[in-house]
Amino acid sequence: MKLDYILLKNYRQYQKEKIIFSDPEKNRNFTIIQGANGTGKTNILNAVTWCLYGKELHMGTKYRGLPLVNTCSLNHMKSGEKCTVEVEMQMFDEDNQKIIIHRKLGYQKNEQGNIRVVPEEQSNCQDGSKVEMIRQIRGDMIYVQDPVFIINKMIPEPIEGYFFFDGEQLNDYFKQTSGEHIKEAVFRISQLALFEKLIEHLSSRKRDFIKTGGELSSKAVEISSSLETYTKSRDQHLEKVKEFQQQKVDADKKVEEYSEKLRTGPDFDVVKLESECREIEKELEQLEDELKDLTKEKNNYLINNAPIIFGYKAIKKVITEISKREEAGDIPSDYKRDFIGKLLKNGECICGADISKENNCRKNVKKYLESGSTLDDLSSELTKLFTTLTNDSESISKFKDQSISYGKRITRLDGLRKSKSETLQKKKEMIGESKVDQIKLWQSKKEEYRKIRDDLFSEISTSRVRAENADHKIQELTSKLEQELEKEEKSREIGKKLKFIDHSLTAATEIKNQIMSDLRKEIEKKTEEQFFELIWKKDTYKEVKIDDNYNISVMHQSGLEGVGTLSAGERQVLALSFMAALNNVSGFNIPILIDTPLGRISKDVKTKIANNLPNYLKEKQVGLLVIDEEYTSEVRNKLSKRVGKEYRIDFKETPDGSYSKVIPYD
Amino acid sequence: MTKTKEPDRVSIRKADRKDYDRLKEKDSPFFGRENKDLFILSMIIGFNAGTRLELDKKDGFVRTEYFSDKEKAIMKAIAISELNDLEILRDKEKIYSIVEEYAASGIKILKEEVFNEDFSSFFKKLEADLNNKLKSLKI
Repeated sequence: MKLDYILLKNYRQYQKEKIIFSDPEKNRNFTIIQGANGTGKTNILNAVTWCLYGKELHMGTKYRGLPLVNTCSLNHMKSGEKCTVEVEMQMFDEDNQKIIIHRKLGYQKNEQGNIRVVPEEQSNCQDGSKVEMIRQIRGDMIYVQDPVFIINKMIPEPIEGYFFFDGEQLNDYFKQTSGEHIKEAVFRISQLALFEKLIEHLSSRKRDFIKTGGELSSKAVEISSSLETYTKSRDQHLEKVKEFQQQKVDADKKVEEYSEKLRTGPDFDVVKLESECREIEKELEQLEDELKDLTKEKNNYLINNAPIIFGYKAIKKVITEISKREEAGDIPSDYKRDFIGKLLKNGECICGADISKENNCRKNVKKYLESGSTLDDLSSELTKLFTTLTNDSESISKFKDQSISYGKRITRLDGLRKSKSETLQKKKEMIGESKVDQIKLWQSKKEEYRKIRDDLFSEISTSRVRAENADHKIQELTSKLEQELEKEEKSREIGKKLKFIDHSLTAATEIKNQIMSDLRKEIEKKTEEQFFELIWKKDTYKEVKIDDNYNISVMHQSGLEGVGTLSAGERQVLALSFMAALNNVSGFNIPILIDTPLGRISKDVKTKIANNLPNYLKEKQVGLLVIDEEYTSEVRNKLSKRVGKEYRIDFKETPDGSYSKVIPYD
Repeated sequence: MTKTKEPDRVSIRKADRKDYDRLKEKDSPFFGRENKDLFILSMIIGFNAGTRLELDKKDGFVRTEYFSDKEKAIMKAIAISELNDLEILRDKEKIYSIVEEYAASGIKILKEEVFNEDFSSFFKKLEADLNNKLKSLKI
């Protein structure tokens, strides 16, 4: 899909601007919009998300709560007059057919000079706006029936942030985004929903089939009824997990929003305190992980040693008994009883003497047999047992010291954790005691959302455990049901069909997992390639790893994980590399818009990125919203062959308000 | 003494299967542990408590080939000490039947200790019990 233009009417800084993105030359897929901070670059991202979803998803604190309408247009409105905010995007689909998305929202000024939203007729959005979608089908332009649904199918809202994003915030991307959230996004981006649907469909067919499959024995009916109960329970818990996860993401955003307010607020002391709190929180997180790992290690040590300590009396008794028997010469015995028995049976001694009859020779050989130990044939087993038990019994002498050592390490970590928690609490209280009411409110809101987030975290874990346990039970019951159906002739056919559905389910799940795994490896490979291409400390880092849960690590040459030690610029390069990799392997052909892509990055690396990014995203249409410091002459030079349209935002402030014009670059 | 072959698996009481399953669930401290680990722990807890419980209905639980030499050595030590006879080593069926009965008694104690208190209490108690045992053994 290609973005042809964005039309902005009375939206934020823009009174009436049309920004054309498409270029007739195929490989000129980059559009540059350059403007100083505050001129309206980010609001171009917001205009896109408002047009698509009726939400400004990249809104900073500055404009939050303010009406969308341009201040100049607002000031020119007479009382009772209506002014409409409009954003229109025209795109071309894969068949070069036009898609127009148009959203509008009216504002009206009353006699007191206040403005209010006038909801659109047949509004299809919470903010009162109305979106329309028009598609070209051959020569005709046709209104799409359910535009909200179709837009979300085309560019799902949960993944818009992977196509329209703020480069500066990428710095915090890996700190604020959980691996799980990324995994979910990759799942959506890779369009594996089809497999989900297939699995869902097969599961529901299986349920229906069990219900109506035919005559079942009472035992099979009982199992299938339990199966139904557990399946319902699992699905309910999984639904809850999803719901809580979304609520947690929202709570996370709120915590971050209020923390940002405190860090950039009017009280310098609070700004400092809040930054310190963030640092302590990070250290605390690390300490808690270490504590958890160490406790687990200690618990395993206890479990592994319990058999030796609790069984020590028995072990000691056996060691003593075997030693006694060894001293007595019972083990190993001088003669193998089996061997002597064979000589007597064959009637010939080892020396050749005839012992087939009751002569003196036979009597002597019999004496050896009677005097030999009955334990003779257990000799080797007893010797092995003796060695193993002796080693075990010796190892418990270290138990006390080892257990004390674990205890000391855990106490030290716990003490450190407590002291850090207390410091954190004190600092939070100091923020809460600020004389500025606004700060008190932000702090209490932040803590309120943190509490919600923590509660949700426990809820997610509980629901997930319950879902997994139910799933375990479902597998067990399915296998029991199959066995039951095998038993009777009349249900054997049902059993076969059920097995077929089960095999199909397993195959669909395995294929889905395999694709997810391949994708992860591909993203890992591409992120690493890009990161090492761009990074300036190539010898410091060894590799980039993305685990099954999409936790991203950058490994130091020393083998230690290093994301925590990356500089802001390095983190931004890592996130940019990851985003580029994700876009590269994604099944969505959506234009990419990046605000301040090179903000924190040093001069040399900026040039490298400018050199590299067009090759990396050569199939994609890319819009870069840059500030002057980013769009250096070197960067411009490197990108020149790939840039189709180049604009500058001209910001004007007048007594009636402010507005921006988007003008082609000189 | 009758010589018997090593059975191919150890059994638990059929009624205890759900308790073993419960101990392996995700919210249990034994999540991720194998059946044989739970069997050995139950056996040693039962042995420590000095109680055996006869298995009414048997349910095959762990293949004996999965036990390590160390684990088999402890099972043998328990059986020998129980009967005061090294010759029991010839009767593998008897060895396993003794340890199965200890495990049947141990799983009851284990389940109660794990789920009646929080998990950290279980491990604290286990550590205290192990240290007390060492003290009583004068080690």
